[in-house]
Amino acid sequence: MMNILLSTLEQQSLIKASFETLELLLWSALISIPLGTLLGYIFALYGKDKIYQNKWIAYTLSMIVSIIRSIPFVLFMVIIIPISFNLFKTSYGFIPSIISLTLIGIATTARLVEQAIVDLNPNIYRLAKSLGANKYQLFRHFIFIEARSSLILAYTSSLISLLAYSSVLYIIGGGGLGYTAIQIGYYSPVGHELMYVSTIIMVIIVQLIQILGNILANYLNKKKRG
Amino acid sequence: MLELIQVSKSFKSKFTKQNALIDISLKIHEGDIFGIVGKSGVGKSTLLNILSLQMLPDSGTFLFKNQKVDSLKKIQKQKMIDETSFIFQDFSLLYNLTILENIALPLKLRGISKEERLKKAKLMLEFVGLLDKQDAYPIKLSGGEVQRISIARALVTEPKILYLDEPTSSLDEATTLDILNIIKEVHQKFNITIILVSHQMSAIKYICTRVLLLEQGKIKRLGPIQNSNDFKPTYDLLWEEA
Repeated sequence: MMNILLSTLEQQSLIKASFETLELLLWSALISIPLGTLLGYIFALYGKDKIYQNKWIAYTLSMIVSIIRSIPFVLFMVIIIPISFNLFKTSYGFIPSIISLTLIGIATTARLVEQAIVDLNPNIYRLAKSLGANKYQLFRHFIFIEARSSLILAYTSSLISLLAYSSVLYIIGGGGLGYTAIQIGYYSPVGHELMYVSTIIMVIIVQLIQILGNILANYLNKKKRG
Repeated sequence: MLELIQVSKSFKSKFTKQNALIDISLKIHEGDIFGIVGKSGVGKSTLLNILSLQMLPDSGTFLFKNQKVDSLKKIQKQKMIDETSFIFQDFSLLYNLTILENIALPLKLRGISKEERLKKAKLMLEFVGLLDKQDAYPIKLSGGEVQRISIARALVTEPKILYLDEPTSSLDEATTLDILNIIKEVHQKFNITIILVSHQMSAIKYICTRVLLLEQGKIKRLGPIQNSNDFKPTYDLLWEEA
């Protein structure tokens, strides 16, 4: 099918772009999921009227996350360029792409994790306290256990958002399927097939992430009857 | 074992101050089954939170095994908390853990080895008669079975004091009687001091040896109670009528 639609050169650039997208997704997720989880935990437990209420920490971090989320991503990654240049002496390509994708990933994951934790029965904190759990144990043995299927769905949504954001990273040299779809697909008079095939591959990746996320979340959820 | 001397506690919001407990003085002896009874909002749970070291009073003295609680270091307080267990009315089990894992959880938090904690958990599960449910998840259990499991988990750490906050208020009459009988058995077999909060005078009368009646944060009556082996659920019955 691909042989009929695309030339060998286009097929090669599509395979390369797919790997680039997966690489961007993998590295940004590896950093943003743990950090986003930590931030979400802080928002859910240190906010106003929460068990460890500490307005200064929660408000400051919450404001930073809200600002990151409010800037359109195309502008955000351009704003990141000088930071990337100062830190890594590069303003184009993989590094500035990873920085911007990771930062937006942390902000997105933090809000989704916060929601998953806030949705838990608040009596879980009383139970943990009565069993003598410390802060780490509260997260590891209570919150993580009870919210694990919601957390998996939150991570699934984060990954899908990262994939969507990654499609514009070609502007700062990040490559990926966004590059093949727009730059060498849409803008070329003979490249529309490449644009459609790139889009189909992205749809397939999203479907795979969602299906796997749903299966894992469902397996880990023991709260359902039957 | 536990003594409160003129203990008061209030909760402040921006514009109001609510007195939850006013000048409470009482003694709970080793081996007591001490009942705290009263209508909703009279300060029963606040008193239980203070007695179980989850909350400090605003004024007055709290002696836990003859030691002043407010002068304790964190590590000493944790040691005392480790000698106690708590049973709640609702959300007492983690729904994503099996029954056996739930019972073993307090031992896991204390760093006990997996082999030892599962062995102890199985013994307790056997005591409450639910060994066959060890691999089930809590969603499959009835309300009475959940409370039996909560009792097993509370006992697995071999506590000296057991606090029960309305353990039977969401259960039907037959299951309530069943749970009260297990609590009686726990008291006899393990010689644990039990502190029970309830708004069900019938439950208090069935198992308690001494009772405190609270009214608007103050002590209305405090003293021994005549046990009744005939369990008749007569909710919100006044002290005099009971």
